[in-house]
Amino acid sequence: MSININLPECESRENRLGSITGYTGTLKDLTERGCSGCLKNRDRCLNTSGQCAHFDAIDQLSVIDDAVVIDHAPAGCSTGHIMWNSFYRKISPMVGRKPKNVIVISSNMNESDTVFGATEKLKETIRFAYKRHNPKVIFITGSCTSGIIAEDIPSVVDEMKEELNIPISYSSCEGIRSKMWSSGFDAAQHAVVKALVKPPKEKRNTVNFIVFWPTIEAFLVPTLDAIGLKPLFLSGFANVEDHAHASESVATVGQCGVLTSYYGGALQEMYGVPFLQEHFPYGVDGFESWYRDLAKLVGKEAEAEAFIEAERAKYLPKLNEIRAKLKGKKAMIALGPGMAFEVVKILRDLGMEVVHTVGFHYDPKYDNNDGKLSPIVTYARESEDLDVTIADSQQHEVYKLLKKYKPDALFSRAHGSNLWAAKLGVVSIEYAGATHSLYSYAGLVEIGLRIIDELENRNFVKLINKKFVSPFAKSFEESPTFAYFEEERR
Amino acid sequence: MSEFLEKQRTGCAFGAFYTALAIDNVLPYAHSGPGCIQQAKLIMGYKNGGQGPSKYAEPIIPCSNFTEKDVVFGGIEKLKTGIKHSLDNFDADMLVVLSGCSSEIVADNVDEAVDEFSDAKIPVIGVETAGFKGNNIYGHEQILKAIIGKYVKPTNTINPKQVNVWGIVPFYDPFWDGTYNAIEDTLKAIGLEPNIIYGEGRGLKNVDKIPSAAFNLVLSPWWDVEIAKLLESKFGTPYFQYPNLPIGPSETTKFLRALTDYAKLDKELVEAYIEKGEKEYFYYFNRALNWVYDANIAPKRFIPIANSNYALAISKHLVNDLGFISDTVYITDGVKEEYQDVIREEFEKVESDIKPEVIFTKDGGLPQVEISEKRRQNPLRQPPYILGTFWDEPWAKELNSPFLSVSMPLGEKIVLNKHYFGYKGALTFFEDFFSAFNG
Repeated sequence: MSININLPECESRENRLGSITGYTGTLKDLTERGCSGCLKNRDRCLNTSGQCAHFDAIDQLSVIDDAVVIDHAPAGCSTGHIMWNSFYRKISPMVGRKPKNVIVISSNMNESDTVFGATEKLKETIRFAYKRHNPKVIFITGSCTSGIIAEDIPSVVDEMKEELNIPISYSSCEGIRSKMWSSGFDAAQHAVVKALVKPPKEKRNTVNFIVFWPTIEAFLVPTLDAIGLKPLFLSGFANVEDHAHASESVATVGQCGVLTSYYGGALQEMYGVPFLQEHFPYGVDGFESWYRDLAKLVGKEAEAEAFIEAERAKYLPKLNEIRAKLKGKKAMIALGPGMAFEVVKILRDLGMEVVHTVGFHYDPKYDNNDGKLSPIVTYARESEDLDVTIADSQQHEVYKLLKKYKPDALFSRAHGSNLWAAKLGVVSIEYAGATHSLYSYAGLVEIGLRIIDELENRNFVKLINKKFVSPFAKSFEESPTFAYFEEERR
Repeated sequence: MSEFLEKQRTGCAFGAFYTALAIDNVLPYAHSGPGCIQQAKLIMGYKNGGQGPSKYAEPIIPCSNFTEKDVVFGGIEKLKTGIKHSLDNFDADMLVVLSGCSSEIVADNVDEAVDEFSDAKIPVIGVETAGFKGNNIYGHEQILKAIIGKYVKPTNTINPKQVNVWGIVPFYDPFWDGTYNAIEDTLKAIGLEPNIIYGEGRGLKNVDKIPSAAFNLVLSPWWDVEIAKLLESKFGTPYFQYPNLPIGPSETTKFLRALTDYAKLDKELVEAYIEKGEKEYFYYFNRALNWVYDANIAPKRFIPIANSNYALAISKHLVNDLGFISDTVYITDGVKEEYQDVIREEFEKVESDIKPEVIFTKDGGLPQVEISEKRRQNPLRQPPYILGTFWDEPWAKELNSPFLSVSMPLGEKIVLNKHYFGYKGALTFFEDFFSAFNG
C-alpha cells in the first residue's frame, strides 16, 4: 500500500506494512517469511501493559517549534507527554535554547461528551489555544475515545483552518488502532507532511535527518561536510520552515528505520527525495555502506573514501583493544526493531556474542515501495543467524528470556526491560541517552568503553539481585518461556 | 471557566491504579488500551519524584491491551482470560481490575467478569475508572470504595486505641510514603495504634483491620472525607478531620492538641511530645538563622500552585511560622464545588491581615499567563516565590522567582521517604525552601 497523504488518516503499521508483535524463532526465518508475505502474528493470552501510538504521536508533534498539540481526548491521554517535555527541556541548553515547556492541551472529554459528541468543544479548544499561544501550526490528535464515538475531526480541521488561517492538521493516533506505538510516529509524520512540507523550489545540499533530537551535530556535521552536505534536522526543535524545505534535500536518512520510514517514504514518493533505508550509520559496515550510498548521490565517492580511511586510522586501534576485552561476552537486546538489529551489528562488531534479541515489533518492509530491503533483511541475508523474539514490550517474556539465556549484559532503552535484567543480576545498559552516541566508529568506541566499565563494577546489580522478590507465581517461573502464545493468526 | 487542560496537574481516574499498587501485594489489572498505564506512570510516578512501585513495576501490570477488534466485539472474554492468567501467574494477595475509557464506552461490565472469579484463591475486585469520569482523586475514591464495599468485612470488635489514617493520596502526593510513616511514628508516640494500609509491609492485614478502629483520622481538606463517611455509615466508625497536613510548629502543635481533645488522649504524654518536637525544631531553626539573615534575598510574597492539601499546609506554615505573605493561591486538584468554600475559609484563617486570593482551576496554563502578566505590568517589583510543579520551573525562573516544586508533577528531584509533616518534616521543608535560592 503506498502512502496517500491526502487521506485524513494514515493506516496502521499492521495494515500498511504487515507488521507484527508476536513471534519467536530466528532472524533468517523471520525476515524470509516477512519477504514472502507469509509472516503471521501470534497473540498472547497474558499481556502486560505497554505504550500506545497516541503517546508517540503527541510527543513527536509537541516538540516542533511554535506548534500546539490539541488532544481530543479525556484528560489522561496526554499526561505522559511530560516525559518528552522533560527531554525537551534538558536538551534545550545543548542546542542553545532556553528551557521551556511544550504546549499540549487536552479537550478534556467527559462522560456526556462520549454520548453526545464533542466537536464543538474541540473547536472551542482550538480557538482557546490559538488565542493563548499564537501558534504557527496546530495539530489535533485523535484518541481511543474520539475514535470509538466516531468524532468527525477532519471536518473540524477544515472549518478551523478557514477561521484561523493557519495550518491545522489531524493525526489519527488512536491507541486502539495499532498494537505498535511506532504507528504514532507515522500518524505524526502524516500530519506534518500534510500541513508543512511544500513542493521543492530549488535543490539544496541538505540531507534530511529524521531523529528525535538534533544533538548529534558533533558526529553528523563533519561527516556530511566531507562530502559537501549539511544536515536538515527534522526532529525536536525543527521549525515550520525546516519541514517546508524537506522536499529540497538530496536524500532522507535517519536514526532508525522505524522512525524514518513514513516521512522518508512520503518524501520519496511525493517529491523523489531518495530515502536511504538499506543501511543506517551503525557499526563498521553499517556506517561505511550508509556513507558510500550517500556520497554516491552527490558524486563524492572519492571524498567519502578519504573520510572513511581517516576515521579508520583514528579509531581502529582503540576499537581493536576494546574487541579484545569484550570477546566472548554474551549480550541480549530488547529494543524497538529499528535499533534492536542495529545494536546487534554494533555488539557483534565489538566482539560480543548476541545470544538473543527482542524487537518490540517487526516491519517486513518500509514505506517507499521501491523494492529496496529494510536494513534488517539485508543484514539477515548476509550474516550469522540469531535467536529472535518479537514482543510489544511484554516484559514478562523478557524476564523469562533473561533467565533462560543468562547474558552478561542486556541492552535496552525505556519500556522497562532494564529493570528486570538488573533484578536478575544482569548488567543493564541503557544504550544511550537522548544524545545517541552510537554512530559510526566513534560510537562503537564510546559504547565499547561503556560496556567495559559496566562489566567492571557489577556491585549494584548483584545487590539488587540478592534481595529480589519475584512478582510472579511459582507456576509462571516454571512454565515454558512462550506458554502464553496463542496460535498464529493474521 | 474553561474545561481545557494544559500543563495537567492531576492524572485521570484510571491513574488511581497507583492506590492499589500502594497497598502491599495488591496487583492492578488494566482492562484498558495499551497506553493508559504508561500515560499515568509518567505524570504520577516517573516525573513525580521518580516514583515507582516496589514489586509490580508498571510495565508488568497485566493489561487487556484493547484494540479495535475488542471495540467491535466487546472485551469481556479477553478480560476473563486476562484475569485467569493473571491469577495463575502473579504472586499477589488481591487483584484489582480497573476499566478504562475504551472498555467502558463499549459497555464491558467489569463486575460481571469479576463475579466469575469469586472462588479464586485471592479476592478479585472490579472498579470503574474510565478517565472521562474524573481525575485520579476521583479514581482513588472509587478504588477505596470498591475495596471497602466488596472486600472489607466487619470485625465486630473495636480496638479503642486504633486509628485508621487517611487523607494523603498515594503516589499523587509524592511525599505520601514518608508522610504516612511519620504520622505513624507520631501517633504511636502519643499513645495511639495507627493503622495505615499503604506502604511497606502493611497490606491487606491492615485493610482487614479497618472496621476495628476507634476512629478514622483524615488529614486533608477533602481527600478521603467521603471514605471516612462511608466507613462511618458502614461500620459506625466516627472520624476526625484536620483540614490540612500539619507542617511546622504552629500547625503541628495545634493538630496534636485538637486530636488530644477529640480522642481523649493522655495530655501529659502529648504535651511532652510537643515540647520535645518544638525544642528540636527550634534548635535547628536557630542554627540556620545566621544564614537566613545574612543571605536572605527571599521575597516576602509567595504563590502556591498546588493541590489543596499542600497549598493550605504550606501557606499556613509560611505565613504563621516563617512570616511570609500569601499573595495568590492556585488550587489545582479539581476540588469538588461543595468543598471549595470550606477551603476558602481555611485560607482566611492564616495569621495575617493580608489574605490570599484563592483560585480554583484545572487549567494548569493559567498561573503562568496571569503571573507573567502581573510581572509585565510591575517589572520593578521583586518577583514572588513560586511553589508549584515541574511545569512551573522554567517560567518561574524566567521571571526570576525563587521556585520549589511541591505538588504533582513534582519533577525529577527524587523522593523516597522524604516528607514535610510535623516538626521534623518542617525542617526538611526549610532546607528545600531556602536551598532554592542557590539554584
